[in-house]
Amino acid sequence: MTSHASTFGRRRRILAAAVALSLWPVTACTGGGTTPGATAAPESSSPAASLTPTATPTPTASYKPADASGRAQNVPVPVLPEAAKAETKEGAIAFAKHWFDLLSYGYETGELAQIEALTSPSCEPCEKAKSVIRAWHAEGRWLIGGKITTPSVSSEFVRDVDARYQVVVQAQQTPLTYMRQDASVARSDPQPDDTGNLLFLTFSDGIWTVANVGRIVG
Amino acid sequence: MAVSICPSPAQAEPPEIFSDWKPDSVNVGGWRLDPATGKFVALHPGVPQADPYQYKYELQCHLGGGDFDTDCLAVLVDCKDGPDGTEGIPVVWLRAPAGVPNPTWSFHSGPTCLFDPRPEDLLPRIAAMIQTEFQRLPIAAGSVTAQPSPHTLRGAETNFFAAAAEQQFDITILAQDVHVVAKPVQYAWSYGDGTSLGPQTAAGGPLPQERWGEKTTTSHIYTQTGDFSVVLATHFQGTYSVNGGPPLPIPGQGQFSSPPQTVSVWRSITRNYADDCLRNPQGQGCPGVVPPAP
Repeated sequence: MTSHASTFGRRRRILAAAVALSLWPVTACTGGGTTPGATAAPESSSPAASLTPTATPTPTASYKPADASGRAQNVPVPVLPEAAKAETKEGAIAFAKHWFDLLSYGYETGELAQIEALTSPSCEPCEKAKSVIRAWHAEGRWLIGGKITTPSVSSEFVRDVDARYQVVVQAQQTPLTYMRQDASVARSDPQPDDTGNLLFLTFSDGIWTVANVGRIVG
Repeated sequence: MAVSICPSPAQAEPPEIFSDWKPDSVNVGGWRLDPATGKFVALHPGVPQADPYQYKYELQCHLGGGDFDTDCLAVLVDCKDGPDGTEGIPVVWLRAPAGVPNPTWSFHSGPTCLFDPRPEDLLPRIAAMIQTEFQRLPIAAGSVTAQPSPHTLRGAETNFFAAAAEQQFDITILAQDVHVVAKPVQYAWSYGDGTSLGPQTAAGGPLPQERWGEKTTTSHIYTQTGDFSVVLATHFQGTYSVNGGPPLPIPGQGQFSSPPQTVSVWRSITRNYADDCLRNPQGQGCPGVVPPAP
């Protein structure tokens, strides 16, 4: 609880700093990609979405998905359900759903801190997805679409030799459109095929973590 | 104003990385549910990929239970042109990722017609027959080329390569039009001297004449002289589609053999002569001269 409070405090300070920075006249020039600190611009453009702590969702701001005119606004941060904290079959399934919610949140907002905290850095497909998300949420670029839903999640809840539990997840993602800083379309993808995902989860100290994920091919 | 002193902003080049969510790794070819154990097994990368989807069909316009979409029924596809004038049932094909229990199905293709009194279990019945039908097809294993040929040398690398093509067939199973596509995926060589190679994915390829004798992925060294029958067995992976439906994977591979090809393995002996055949017409190797016994 204390750690959460301190995070909150730090975020308040970051928020204050970002607001102060935006009042400084020189930030009017942050359009230049080569300007040092330019990468910080997207965060300050939507402070409500990226800096609101999970415990206090903003009641007044309404969610607006990304479109051709700009990035998504007031995207609700997925909250880890209580059920996803137990080392049970239901817990693993609830956690798998939550993890894909965070991945979806990442595509929408570029915010990856939450999913990184619950994912092993050795998860290769996760790192690849993160690099795409990072690249397209930097320097004024943004992504339209990419929201992920999980229509089927199941698990036999058997621990394998590496102490990992497997969860089978069918994931559906809406098509991605990659927007340049000047609001021109860099690329617009068709509806991707559903994926069959095999999530490998570990549980320790009351926390589920994604160790890896693979594609189910048959 | 601050704006007037700003340099014209050079727009950062967007990165050239585009990808929706893909759970793929470089060192794993994917995971397959082993029906015997109910466990997922990791596949090696490069293993010929099966279709990662499962398919089914549903009656066109069917909303579930006894309910049908009336607007849809008005434009129902006409299935009157079946074999022997039979009336068929319009269906749409759906698909979902394979290996996912109770998946959500999405539209794949259709509507198309099925001509069977029991369409609900038609697909399993065709699936049960398709492997036998597949192996029965007149699939050409492909041609075998040896370099050098028809004579090659004992103790030297003889380069063999296969040329096999994708082949398509239209057959009828249980009164349904079934379209089969067979793709060569692996090659096994029987060199006729008791040795064999493969099955392996490499088909081999031609070498330019100045490189004959080099070792290749499919070359072979004969240690004895004589005539050898070389047989290529090509493994085909197939898909079948029923009445224009989606291509469904045929579970097993079909194996088809080429007609045997004879390779004569000779030995080479080098003899040096001071004269040419004009100066010494009786010299060995000159026209009309019987070679000496080896």
